[in-house]
Amino acid sequence: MRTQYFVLGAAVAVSAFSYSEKTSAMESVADFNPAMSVIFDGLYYHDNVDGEGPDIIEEHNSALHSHGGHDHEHGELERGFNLRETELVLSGSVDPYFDAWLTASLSSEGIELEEAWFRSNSLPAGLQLKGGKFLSGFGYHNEKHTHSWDFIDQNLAYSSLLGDHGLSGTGLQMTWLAPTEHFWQAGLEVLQGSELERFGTQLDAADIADEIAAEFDPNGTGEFSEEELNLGIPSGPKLGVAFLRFGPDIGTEHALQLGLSAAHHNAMQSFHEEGTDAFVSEGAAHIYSAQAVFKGFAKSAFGKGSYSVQGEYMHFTSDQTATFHTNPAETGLPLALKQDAAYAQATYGFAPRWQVGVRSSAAGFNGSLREGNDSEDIQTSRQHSLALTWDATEFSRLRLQFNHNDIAIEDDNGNAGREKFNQVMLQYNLSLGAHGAHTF
Amino acid sequence: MKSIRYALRIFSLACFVAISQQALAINIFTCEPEWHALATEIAGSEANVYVATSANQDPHHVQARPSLISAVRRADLVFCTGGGLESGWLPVLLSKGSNPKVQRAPGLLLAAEQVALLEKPVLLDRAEGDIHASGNPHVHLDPRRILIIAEKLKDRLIEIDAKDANGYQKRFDAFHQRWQKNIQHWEQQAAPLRNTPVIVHHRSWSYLLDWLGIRQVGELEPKPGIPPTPAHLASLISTTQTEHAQLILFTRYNGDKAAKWLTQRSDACAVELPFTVGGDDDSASLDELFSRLIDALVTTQTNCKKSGAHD
Repeated sequence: MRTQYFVLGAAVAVSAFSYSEKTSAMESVADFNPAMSVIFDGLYYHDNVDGEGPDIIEEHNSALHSHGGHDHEHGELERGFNLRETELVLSGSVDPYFDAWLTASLSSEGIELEEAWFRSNSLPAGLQLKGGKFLSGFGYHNEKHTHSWDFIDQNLAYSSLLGDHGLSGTGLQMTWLAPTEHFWQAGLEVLQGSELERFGTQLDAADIADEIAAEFDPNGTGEFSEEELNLGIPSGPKLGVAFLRFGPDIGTEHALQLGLSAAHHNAMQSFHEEGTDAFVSEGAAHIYSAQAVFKGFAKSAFGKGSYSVQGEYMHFTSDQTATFHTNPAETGLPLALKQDAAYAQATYGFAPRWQVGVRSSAAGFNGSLREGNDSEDIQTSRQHSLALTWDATEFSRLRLQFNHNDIAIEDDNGNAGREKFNQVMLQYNLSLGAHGAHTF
Repeated sequence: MKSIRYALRIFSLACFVAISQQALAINIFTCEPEWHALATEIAGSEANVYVATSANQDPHHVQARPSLISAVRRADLVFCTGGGLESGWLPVLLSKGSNPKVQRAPGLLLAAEQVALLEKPVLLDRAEGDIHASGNPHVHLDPRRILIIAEKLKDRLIEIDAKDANGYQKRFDAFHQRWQKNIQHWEQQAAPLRNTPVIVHHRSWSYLLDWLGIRQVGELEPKPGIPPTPAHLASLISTTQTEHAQLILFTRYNGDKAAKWLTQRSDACAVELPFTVGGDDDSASLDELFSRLIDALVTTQTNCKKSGAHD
């Protein structure tokens, strides 16, 4: 609640400031600080599974699938018109020592703070410190804001392991840029890790306890307390991230970046239901990732002839212990989860202002869920996408995207199955306000 | 044991050589080839001058690629156009470059902030296209403004690297002398161009036209930064007639399609010009760039008149 007021206050203050600036001294608008912009994003959505597409993808067979986690509070896509997050972005220099950035997502349900961070710009020796709530430097695509994506939706590999909004959190990041001709950057992050969607997800213990009491009633009294789940006391920081990036200087017309990242969460929790039994588990989790990006820049204006190719591979493991099981004999049983996920995509500017993109993602391969001596394989889900983008200017864009999905699912009885379906989306994305600079 | 000590000694020597070499020469990061040429001129051949873009890239649209971030990290001076031209990428380089030296003056020198700008917009509205709030940033095509910028650059270099002050002053004085003669020469050469009505692809030539007294009567882009549309081009046919436009100016990354289209439907002649140093084979230096620009304009004008009289 307090954050909401702060954001509103800041927005009002800035708009008042901009108004007075505009009327008094037009030329100073160029040096406007802070820069403010509003991103409008909406789409028309259709699928051939009665609008169940987003739910099927959300529920795909995955080692990270758990009930009762922290769901992100955004509306699901419906068939027809959808207004996605309208984002308010404020950024600028605080003083000679710090920059700050704020992204708030506005919807009819209220305001949600997505990012609020500061970054030092006066540390010596190529060091930079970032603090607050921010998108992690893990991977390549993770730090990209939704409006600079090449596709409308998140790729399946990220959705499966990190969630639709990627890996983000509250904490500190330190990066070091080497004083070398080629780009070498190393980064370390320590994050609270308590609001994650998939990797490192935390259970709402009170909710789970109520559900167990209602559906399983292990005490035979109709009551069950969250203490009986024996989950660790949720305190942080729980998430650590490390990354290394390398980008050789290969001239003005091409660019290459390679990266390795690792994320460690020390208390990932999950809740599983298996027929008449249910259990809750907790333990450390890891993701290792490798990324490569190659881009070619056009000599002609408006992006004709520009292209990009990028791919990321991620490997997830987690060793958990059943802290509570409805069958008391199985409490304390080890649970080993693992799965891989990857995507590759390419874009090409085939005409001025027009871009075509293809993307292929997969999640769940090399995956298994081992509980004590029982092991169950995770089935692979796949998604293939084709996107056509028209950039009217740097500030407005229309995009048409087609997805073919082949999703592994599990029905209520635990039987494996597959859902094959198509999705079509038409999106507009507008940016009102400051000219945004984009990272590589 | 001996070999380890020996290896260590070699290693520390190599480190020392590498570090001292780096420390000796000043590192200048330039955004565009014209500033690369000017910085090399004033800072001398011993300076490490890095250029972010090549001549045939549109400087409005450049990506903040990783190697540029590394180059900014090592820079003692960042020398760019400013005025909003690089607003899509330079802020990222400065913020990710982790280099406190180049966040502001003296380590940051923006050419457009050193001279008076043309075309300052009365109304700041994106509906008018890609308008730069402080005015047209393409200042490098006026050699008189280049001279002012060269002097500011010399002052900055002396401020940053006082031990080499004499060298910077000497090189600037030599440039100043040569450049004033050049300007006189070019102005004489370009005398026939005075008051010639021309059409430009984008507002990239305003400073050149202003210097030489050439009149701009139309733009192929309907609004700055919006590519030519058939309807807008059609409207330019009558403009070329009523205004007697003789030349249509464009550069390689604009593409020649729109300019050719209009030449086929009017008496005006299209002329492809290098936008900066290295823009074609005949503009390898700042001096050559201006000679080439004026030569191309005068020659095209002369030939165009001839063929026009022929009809």
